[in-house]
Amino acid sequence: MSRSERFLNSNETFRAPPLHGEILYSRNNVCIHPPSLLSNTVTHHAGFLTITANVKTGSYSLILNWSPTEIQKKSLEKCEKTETEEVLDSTEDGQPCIEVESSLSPFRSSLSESKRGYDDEPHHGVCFEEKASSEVNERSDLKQGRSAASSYHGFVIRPPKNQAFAAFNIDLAEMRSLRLFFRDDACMTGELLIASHESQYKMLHFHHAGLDCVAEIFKDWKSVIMDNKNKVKCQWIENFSFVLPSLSAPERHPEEDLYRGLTVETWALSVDEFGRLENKWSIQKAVFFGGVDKMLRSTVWPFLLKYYTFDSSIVERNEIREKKSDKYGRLNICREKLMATNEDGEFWKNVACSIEKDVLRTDRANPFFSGEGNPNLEILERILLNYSVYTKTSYTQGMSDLLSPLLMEIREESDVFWCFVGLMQRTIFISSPSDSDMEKQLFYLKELLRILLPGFYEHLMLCGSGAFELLFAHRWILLCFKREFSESEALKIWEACWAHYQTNYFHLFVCVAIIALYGRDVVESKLACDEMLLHFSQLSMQMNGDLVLRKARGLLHTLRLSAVPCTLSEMFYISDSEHQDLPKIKCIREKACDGGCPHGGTIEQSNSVRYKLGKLLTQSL
Amino acid sequence: MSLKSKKEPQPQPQRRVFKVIVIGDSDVGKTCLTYRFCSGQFQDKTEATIGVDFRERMVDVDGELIKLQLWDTAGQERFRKSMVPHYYRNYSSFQNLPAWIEECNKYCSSSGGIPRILVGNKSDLKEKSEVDTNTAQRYADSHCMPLFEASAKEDKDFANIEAIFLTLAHKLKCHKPMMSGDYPSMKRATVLSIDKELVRKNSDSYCANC
Repeated sequence: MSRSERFLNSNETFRAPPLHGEILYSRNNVCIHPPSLLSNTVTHHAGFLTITANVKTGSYSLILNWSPTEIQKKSLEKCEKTETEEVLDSTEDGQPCIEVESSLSPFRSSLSESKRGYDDEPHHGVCFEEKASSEVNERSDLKQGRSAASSYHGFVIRPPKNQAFAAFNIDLAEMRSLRLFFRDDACMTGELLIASHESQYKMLHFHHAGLDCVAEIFKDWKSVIMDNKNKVKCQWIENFSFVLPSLSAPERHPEEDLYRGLTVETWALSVDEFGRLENKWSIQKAVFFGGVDKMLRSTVWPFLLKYYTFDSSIVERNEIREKKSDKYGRLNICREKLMATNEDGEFWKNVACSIEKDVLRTDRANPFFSGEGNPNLEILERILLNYSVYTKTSYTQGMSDLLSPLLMEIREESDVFWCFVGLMQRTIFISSPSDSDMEKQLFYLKELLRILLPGFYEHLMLCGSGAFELLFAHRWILLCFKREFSESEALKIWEACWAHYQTNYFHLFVCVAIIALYGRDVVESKLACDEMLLHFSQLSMQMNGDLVLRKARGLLHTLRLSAVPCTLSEMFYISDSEHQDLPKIKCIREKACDGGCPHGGTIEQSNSVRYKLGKLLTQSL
Repeated sequence: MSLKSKKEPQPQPQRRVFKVIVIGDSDVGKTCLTYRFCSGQFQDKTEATIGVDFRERMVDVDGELIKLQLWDTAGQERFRKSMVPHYYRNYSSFQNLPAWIEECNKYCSSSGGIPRILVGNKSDLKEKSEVDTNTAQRYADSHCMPLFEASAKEDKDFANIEAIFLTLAHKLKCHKPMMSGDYPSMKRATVLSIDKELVRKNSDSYCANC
């Protein structure tokens, strides 16, 4: 039986409850990533984790203690000082009381197992992490910038002077939920997310195995509590779940894993003697399912962003390039003149001012943009200014974030500019100065949630109208997940969206996938709007991008199979594709559908409606 | 997550959470200000905030441990527009806001409306200051809010920044009875914004914080 199957089928033999104070688990090198203010910079802080049983009359709980490796090395005095504020009654003396019971309680085995693991590889992990942390530290300490919610600081009265990496104790009985997110197929590594009733979060990273043991302990604990006759109320153990690193067969897109992504070889094979691409369709599919090889990005992105058409030859592309380069040069001169003259002076001054501010704050952790007076910053600024003049619109925050990866990969200023123009047109979001595009996106997302995640949708209804603004998804959509995932994962998501495979709105399926995988706590703990926002912002840079992408492809497939309601029909229409692959559209009798569905949906009997419609709708049917 | 567990397994009263929303022009230092308060550190480089970020810190207000939850918003109006009304709407509709403030005044006679504070950030850049203290003070006075000048960058100014938020926490605490009494669900409530006019008027180095 595979490990993941074991987690699902919990028919383990009953184990006797542990004794009070017994250490059930201990492991070094469990990481905390302090909130960073810059995305894509992670500082690892390795520490020592112990889980201790806290058994008293009428209460079964686990105490989770984490203390940083660095502090352990420092004087004991200091260590105690840091801990005193947070230490629990079970460890009153400042030291966890270690039961040296010789009887072989079942839990002993897991203890010795974990201890053995620790002894076997104490240096490998620790050294690695420490090096990493001290290196990254100097750099990223200067930088950190953004971060959602630092659960961190909630634990201490005073922010520690050196770093906010103080040891902490958590009584799991006081927690709201426990979520385990496994990373690898063997279910050894991953993240443990603990949320308190006050919506404070702690995330522990198990980079080098160990999460499997933790999961076992929680599972055992759950059965101990469930078997307890005095039924203690225990929310945390009820709200305890796993996210496995793989999807079950029905959740997967049937074509998943058939495509390895676009590699240098496959690309070379798809091009004919004139440089024309022979099978656009299969290229789009390859990109959609597997992304583009990093080496190929500068070659392939201009096609995905409609700078070149797939059927153009090399000669034609060179012509286009030359023409566009001239045009860009003229635009640049024009813009310089415009900025110099006083015509609409105030407007352009404001635009230039906000661009300048944002350029200095864009991806500065990336070596490509680092350092004072980096010439790439000037290019970034120039392109944004020219774009503003070209479209005669103001600059909108977030544009610099979307542009910077293009500049990093494509490099040549004029090419980057035209690709950016393509991106802005194709990506739909952020492209217009009005908010109507955003509203449309949110409407579609809402509809998708209603159909694909009815449980979550119902929760939103209970929260009231404010919840339907889907505030937590705004940044996802506006920056296309750039701040939610590591750079490589985010770019893979971008490419999957740019493939425009079956829909122009794949990013919305990615949103639904995130909620499907990581939103369980929202529904189970009945989080209010602001707590929901907090929940998802906690998870940024912590989620498994590959898994989310797979889930999103699966959701797209599911929706297409179940017939698309006519309100969403536009999502599946790809304007310039000769290969229209429209799913079955079903009229759901919206107001606009009186006297014939304008979306071409077929009307079905209400009893054949397979999915849950909103209350109102059900009534009207 | 609680700091200390109780000796007895009695139901712990839920810790109160005060929310503070920080608004102001782009690049005035909202992120740095909140980060300094919550972590004690200054970040030289930050990213433009898109949407809203959260930062939190526990504070001791007259012996009660309170979580201050800072909502660090985006400076550019486009996103704030969708943010700020939502913040109010959690508890009451945006349209009802004037009535709500009135109600607030009725119960909390000590101050007018919901607590607001004006912060002039980047006080370390004295030579570049575009707003002199007197002007800012007059403006703050006319809107019944305290003015703080601070620098998220200067280490020695940390106490000053703490004072800003602690003042706010105290002010909020005095507003609390009316909140929790009338609307039990609002125990996590409050604190509103400053008007945009003010932010613009105070130009670059001022960030309004409510």
